[in-house]
Amino acid sequence: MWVRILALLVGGLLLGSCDGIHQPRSSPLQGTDGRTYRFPSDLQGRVVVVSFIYTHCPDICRMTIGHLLDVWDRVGKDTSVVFATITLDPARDTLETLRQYAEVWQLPPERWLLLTGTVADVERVHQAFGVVARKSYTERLPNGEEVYFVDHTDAVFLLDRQGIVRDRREGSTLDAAAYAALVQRYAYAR
Amino acid sequence: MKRLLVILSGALIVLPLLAQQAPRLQFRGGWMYSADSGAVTGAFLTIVNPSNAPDTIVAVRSACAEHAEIHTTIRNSDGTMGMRPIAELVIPAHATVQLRPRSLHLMLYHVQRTLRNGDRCTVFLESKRSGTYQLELVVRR
Repeated sequence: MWVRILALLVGGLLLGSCDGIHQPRSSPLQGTDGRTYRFPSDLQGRVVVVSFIYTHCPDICRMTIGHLLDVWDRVGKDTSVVFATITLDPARDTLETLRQYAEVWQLPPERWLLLTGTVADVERVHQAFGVVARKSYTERLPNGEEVYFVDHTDAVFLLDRQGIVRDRREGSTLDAAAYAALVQRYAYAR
Repeated sequence: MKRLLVILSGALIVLPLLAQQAPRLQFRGGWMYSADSGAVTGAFLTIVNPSNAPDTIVAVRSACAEHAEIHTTIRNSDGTMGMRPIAELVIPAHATVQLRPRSLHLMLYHVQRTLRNGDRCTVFLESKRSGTYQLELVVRR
């Protein structure tokens, strides 16, 4: 009995302490499905693949979304799995911008949420996941428009049904097959 | 008059030689990410310089975007990723330079029409030594 409890505790610690985050604190965010979520707590009961992108990002974020689409192709039929993509740039990524992004990328609307909110709320979610997003280089285009880039963490997170972070890894280099197997492992653990 | 003839005949010999000394750059596998009208996107390709002299890409423009630049992706000391514009891209002699994800890329601002998988977009690369190149890039998801 005691051996079993000890094994469960050690296993839990190993999985839960992958980056020092256990259960990220929640904040209100608006989803592209028109609903407001306490994120991530409102998604408890499902396995959640959490990613962070911004729509002005032509490289790292697109790679991450591309890999996650490959993961979706493998696990998307499982209704207990939800994908949640949070903006790194709430000042520019409005709900409408995120909806257009989802449409161009053909992200499945039923269980792939894109989320934004007030700058303060989005930043709270970043902090809860240990994600960094900061304005960096700024330049002026020939049309006079000032544009800025965002330096950011390149990471995706896997939350189990209790909302506990079970995995964190780089998004732009994600191995879709291996990651899909991991997602399925947590989806099957009912 | 005789001196003028010497100069002219010399020029006739030298000019073709100069033309021969600037073999053109070669380009392979150009593609870009899909994008909504008005959005930004990234484009990628491989540039080969078969000549004995370096060449430099000094400007980029595109028929399907309002503005284009050469960018590179960087990793900061804290592990965060970012990107920065670069003014010129040198292609060394007998070298191949790859513009690929997580590295060098073309940044296209304000795409002027929605670009979906399979669409094509024209990009112009202006080189310091061998002129301007017109390339057709294929849009991928």
